[in-house]
Amino acid sequence: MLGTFNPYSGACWTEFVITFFQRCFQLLTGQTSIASDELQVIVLAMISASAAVVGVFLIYRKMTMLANALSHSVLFGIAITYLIMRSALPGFNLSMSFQAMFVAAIITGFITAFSSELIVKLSRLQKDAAIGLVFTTLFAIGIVLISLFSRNSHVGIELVLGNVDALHIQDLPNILKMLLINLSLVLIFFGGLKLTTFDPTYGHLRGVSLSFYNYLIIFLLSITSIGSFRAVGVVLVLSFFIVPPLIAKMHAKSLTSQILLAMGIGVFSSFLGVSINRHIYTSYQIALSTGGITVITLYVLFFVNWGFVQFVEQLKRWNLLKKWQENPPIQT
Amino acid sequence: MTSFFTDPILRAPTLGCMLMCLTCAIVGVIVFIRKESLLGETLAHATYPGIMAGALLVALTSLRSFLIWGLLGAATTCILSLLLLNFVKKQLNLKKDSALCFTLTLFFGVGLTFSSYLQTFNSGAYKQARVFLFGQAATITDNYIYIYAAFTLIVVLCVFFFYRQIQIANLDSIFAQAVGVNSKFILILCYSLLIASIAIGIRSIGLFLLSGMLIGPAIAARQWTNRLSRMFILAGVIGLFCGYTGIFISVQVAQNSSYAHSLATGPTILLVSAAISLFSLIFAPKRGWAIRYLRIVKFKKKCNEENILKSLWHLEKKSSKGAKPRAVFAFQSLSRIHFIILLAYLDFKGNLLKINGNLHLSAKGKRRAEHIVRMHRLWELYLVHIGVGIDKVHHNAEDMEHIITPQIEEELLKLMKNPTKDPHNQPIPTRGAIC
Repeated sequence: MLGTFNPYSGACWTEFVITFFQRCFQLLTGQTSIASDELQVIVLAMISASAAVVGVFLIYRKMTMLANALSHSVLFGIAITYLIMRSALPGFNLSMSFQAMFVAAIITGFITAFSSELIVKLSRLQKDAAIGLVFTTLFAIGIVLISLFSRNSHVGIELVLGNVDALHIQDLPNILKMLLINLSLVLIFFGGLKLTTFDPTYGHLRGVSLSFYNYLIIFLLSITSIGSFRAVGVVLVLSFFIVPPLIAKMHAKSLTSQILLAMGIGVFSSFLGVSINRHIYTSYQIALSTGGITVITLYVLFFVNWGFVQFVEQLKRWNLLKKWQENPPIQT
Repeated sequence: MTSFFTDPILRAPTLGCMLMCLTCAIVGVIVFIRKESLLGETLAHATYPGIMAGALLVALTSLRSFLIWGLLGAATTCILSLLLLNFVKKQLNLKKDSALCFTLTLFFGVGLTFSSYLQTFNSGAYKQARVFLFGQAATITDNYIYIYAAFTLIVVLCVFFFYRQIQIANLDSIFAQAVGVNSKFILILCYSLLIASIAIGIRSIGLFLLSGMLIGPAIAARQWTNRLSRMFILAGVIGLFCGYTGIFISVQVAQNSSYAHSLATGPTILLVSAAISLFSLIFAPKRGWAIRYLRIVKFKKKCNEENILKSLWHLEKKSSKGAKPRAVFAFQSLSRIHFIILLAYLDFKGNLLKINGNLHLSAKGKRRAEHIVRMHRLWELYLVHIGVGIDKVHHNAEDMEHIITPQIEEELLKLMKNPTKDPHNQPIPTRGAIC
């Protein structure tokens, strides 16, 4: 149940952090009910964790633009699923049903990926162009379908942009299931995924099915997009897919550590995003989109990290130079 | 039909859509040959913060024209995103697709924040700016048409005057360097054209769907021609057609449907263009799937027919009584049903004779079979002539016998000075009257 009184109203950033950790303890012992800010933090953290797991593989497999494509064609999948489920089950409510989410993910992911691959194979078109053609078409069909059955073409905008501030407590179990599916599938197939991502030729020679792992990634990608679509919108999910893994890549030494680090960064930035948003609202009375602020937070983190890494490398170079000046390398 | 151009309310949206689709289609060809089809996607999304900033500027200050400032903002953030993309690729060492996605989400996230600010600050301006997300053709008025027409004219003239340079610089940059074409200038020109077309295109199609409008006509045009100049013209025509048909359909639906349903113009235009692309992908001559598939099937049928005739010819050589269908079947790699159908077809064409259940070649069939055997043996001879071992030539000749044209036959005869025996010391059949 959502508490009627929001304990965070009027809190600046430090107050937010203190209250959050105090209330975390209370929540775990069951003393209070969850507040909307906490719900936002939890949902964003779970989404960022599941996106980071997939995102690491997406970047190495050069599939991030497919993620972008999928985030558009999700609209088509949801519209089709809604039409099918509504005719099958009267009084069906899209947002709460996990099965519907599952079906929509499968439909969207596979139609997008399969049809663009088919076009590439049959007509020797560039892959980029084929993906672009497929997802814009599916997106247009999705918009037309939604505007036909909802009589309001602007529903599409809310669906695409998402609204973190309108999260509902019932979204929580769905997103938890999504996170569990992602984590368990990646854990089970970790070896194969790693092999087919970094050395597909060797994997093929070993008899590992490349297309199985390709479609596994596409499935994970689409279920993450769909699951988080209603909650936070596609843009935020895309940034969660790409930015935390890239930040983690600067520091991590192995794939496992990169994945774990990316998950940590995602969770941290979702906490930071929500708290900064609350701070802005308290201090300046401006209500900004939590999603947008979180995206910006992620990118600020990225560039800060990048600057830090550059700085450290520069220091190393100076030290090396100093060493050379003290004991010059042997001249040949 | 013509009322769309004379009706005072419909005239501006129709012309506006057609002009925008024309520019998008022409610039799309450049993007397509540069193999950067998804660049349009990133740039189109990057206009979002610019539009919102423009709307914010208009709402905050006494500036009036939202269109001008929105477009300016859009173009500015487009350029910024291009610069960031370059920086990300060079300095951060990201792959092409990661760089595109990285830039797209950054700009869209900033745009999202701006739009949420605008929404609470001035919801009227926000509603006005929201038009750019999915496009709205209906509110285009005559004043805007002049701006769009000027932009379109600039794009068309640029492509017309710099056609050679664009072609060379985008298709073969090394050659461009050698010839002395200023690649950098052409690159900047191409990107400026792209930004201009995006900035004016989002008004009618919307920034989500714009990249589809860049890609669609180019894909369709590519299927029908191999020449760049024709591709530009064809894509332009397809663009014009999409713009007109899209607005025609959406107006018809709005007038005739009994509900309050409306079909937004942007998605309709895009669906028309997607339908044309799909049709071209399937049915275009030479490159279309259907035609190619038909050609493959036809060739396979010809090969199978000729193989049957050939084995029958060999069997008839051994005994003049002809051959049982079973004996011929043993030499074919066909399914039984396929074989029976082909036999019936050959019989119908008059290539076979059936006497007492035995198969014989008719005069016509014999000529065809002899032609094949002749080609086979000529090719074997040629392979030996160029130094392939005698025991290795048969398999290659099995494939080549179906392909050799009369011209190649002439050349072979000239090369080998009208041979009569093949490498296995078999006689080469003389040339038949009809091949």
